[in-house]
Amino acid sequence: MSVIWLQKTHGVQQRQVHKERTLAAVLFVALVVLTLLAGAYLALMARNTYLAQDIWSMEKDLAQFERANRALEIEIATWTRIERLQERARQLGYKPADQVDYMVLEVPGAQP
Amino acid sequence: MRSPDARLRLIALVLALVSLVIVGRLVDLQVLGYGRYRDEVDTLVHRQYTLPQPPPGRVYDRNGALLVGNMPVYDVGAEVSMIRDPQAAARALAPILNLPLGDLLATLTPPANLEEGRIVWRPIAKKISVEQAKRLQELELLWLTLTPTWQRTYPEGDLAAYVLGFVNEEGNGYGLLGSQWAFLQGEHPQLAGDVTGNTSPLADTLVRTARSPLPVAGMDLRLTLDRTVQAYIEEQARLATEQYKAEGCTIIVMDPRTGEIIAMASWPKYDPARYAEYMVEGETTIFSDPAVTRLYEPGSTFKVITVAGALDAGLVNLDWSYYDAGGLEYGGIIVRNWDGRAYGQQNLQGLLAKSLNVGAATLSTRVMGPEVFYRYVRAFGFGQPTGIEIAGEAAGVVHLPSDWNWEDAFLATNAFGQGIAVTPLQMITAFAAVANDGVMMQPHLVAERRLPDGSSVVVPPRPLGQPIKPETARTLQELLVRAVEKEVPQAMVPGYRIAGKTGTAQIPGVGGYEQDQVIGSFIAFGPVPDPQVVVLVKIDRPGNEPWLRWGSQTAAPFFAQMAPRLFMLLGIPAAPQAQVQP
Repeated sequence: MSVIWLQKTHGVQQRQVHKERTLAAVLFVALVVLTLLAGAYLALMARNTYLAQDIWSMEKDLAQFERANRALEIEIATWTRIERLQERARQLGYKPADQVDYMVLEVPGAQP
Repeated sequence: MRSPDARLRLIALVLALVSLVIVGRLVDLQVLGYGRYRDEVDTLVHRQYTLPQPPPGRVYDRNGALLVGNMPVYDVGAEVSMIRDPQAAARALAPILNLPLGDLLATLTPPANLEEGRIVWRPIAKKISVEQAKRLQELELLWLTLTPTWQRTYPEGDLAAYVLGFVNEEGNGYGLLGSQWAFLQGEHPQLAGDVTGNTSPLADTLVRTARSPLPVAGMDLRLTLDRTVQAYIEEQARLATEQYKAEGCTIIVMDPRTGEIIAMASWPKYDPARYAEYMVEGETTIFSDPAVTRLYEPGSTFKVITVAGALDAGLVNLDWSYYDAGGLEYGGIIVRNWDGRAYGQQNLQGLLAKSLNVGAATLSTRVMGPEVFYRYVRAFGFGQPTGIEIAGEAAGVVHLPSDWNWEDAFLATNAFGQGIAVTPLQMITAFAAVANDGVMMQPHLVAERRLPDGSSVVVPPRPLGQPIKPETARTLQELLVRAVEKEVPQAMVPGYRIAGKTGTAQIPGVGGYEQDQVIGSFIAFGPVPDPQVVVLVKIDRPGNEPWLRWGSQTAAPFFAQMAPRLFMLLGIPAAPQAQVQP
């Protein structure tokens, strides 16, 4: 082989190796980017699902609180029903007035 | 194969083939077989589901006191195909549900020829309490289903039972609840999506449909009713019934300026919590509110409408007079005064104060004629429902000259409230127009609608029309004040100028009017000249001595008896300067 031939072929080999390295680097970077994107997507989806579950769970709690609230409202209304208040007033010694006189007291300076 | 290039080519080829197989399989799964696999998934997890039953809207009185609410309860069911030991299951549930062991065992025993994989679900109990549900949950039975639902509850018991009414599971019902069910019922849609094993929507389904798992509750209503006044007049209706040995009594309290019904009561009443028992006994007529559904002939209270029409049309004035001979022949009948007496020369004041049938018939037949008379009858709302928010409101019966069953005598008898049928609410609404300077307001019960998102819509007072001019109304107010002061002093209330008119109506029966059976009524408003309240007292078939059954002897004095406390509850102060006008 002549010197010139060796120089030429060596130069060709060097260029090929360089190209392959560049290609490998690009592929590697692409793989890393894709992996990162896929990971981010999966993380986002997992987070989304987790949050949805969390929201649903809280809304279910809210529904339970709402139900408890309604039950308490009924209980309060039952305790303050007119019949019960009248009975309590009677127990305390009050009785309906025989004669009702509606008196309007004028307070000096008060707006009518 | 020893050359590195050849080995590399082989490896690349194998990898390419493996990739091809994987890609091919992916294409098969994702593209070619997509429809089939999607169907399989849908069959497994895609189901119709319903959100928990929403609570129907609540009903409050004008001051925010709860009248109708919702108690949280549960419906219980069982997937009996999953039960391995029905005996043990029945023994565990029976004491908690308070059900007979035998019945429960029959329900929980799976069918004998049950196919493998088939699900059989059966209801066990309805509307159990939260405490019972907790005890059931503690048993940790996988086959037991607890569905949250609601029980309609009336914290005030039978207070305002007729007004409030109820609805059945189909949404049909009586009273305010029956009329307003479209607003009160919550949103309970059938939805579809991916569900869990117990048919609850997956969280992902809810996120994709942007749908909360909370049911949308119905609208709440704030009424114009005042529960304290309502309780008071219900007690008064009971007292009046007892005091006059009557069949029943209706009392309505209304604000003439707005048309707000402050209280509306009838006695006897029913307990809405026991409606199922009444249904079983076939007593469904008991549910209809007598104040808006039961027709009666108004009698002499209707003379106010006759006089109002004649005055407003300009056909008579305070100087007008007629000669009362004690009888008037018209349309083949002879109209006589309530006592058969002749009263000689009379004017409008005498007509109303002495409640002269001959005078009223003279106005309708000789002065007004059918066209003018019935124009005013219709303008005051008779013969048509008022539109109050109560289911089943009656329109009343008004015969017109164009009707096939018209008789000429109607023109004479209608003038003093015979041969015409009205509801108590129609009568008080017409009187309210006189009290409100001629403007007739829409009688209503709903003051405000509150939406589930916290916003609210206030229902404004709505005029129905102006049947008479303001000056006519004010003239009539004075005539009615004097009628009370001169002829019905037993209806006067110290400190208040009261305008009113009594009525004693006969009750039509088979072949004529019932002997000695009457409806005594009194409709009053005050304090004149700025009336803030109209009150109707109607006593059905008083059973005391026949000569003491007139409206002036029953409803009028009873009004005077109940009015002072009523005015106090309504915050209407007495005017010390209120004097009896000469």
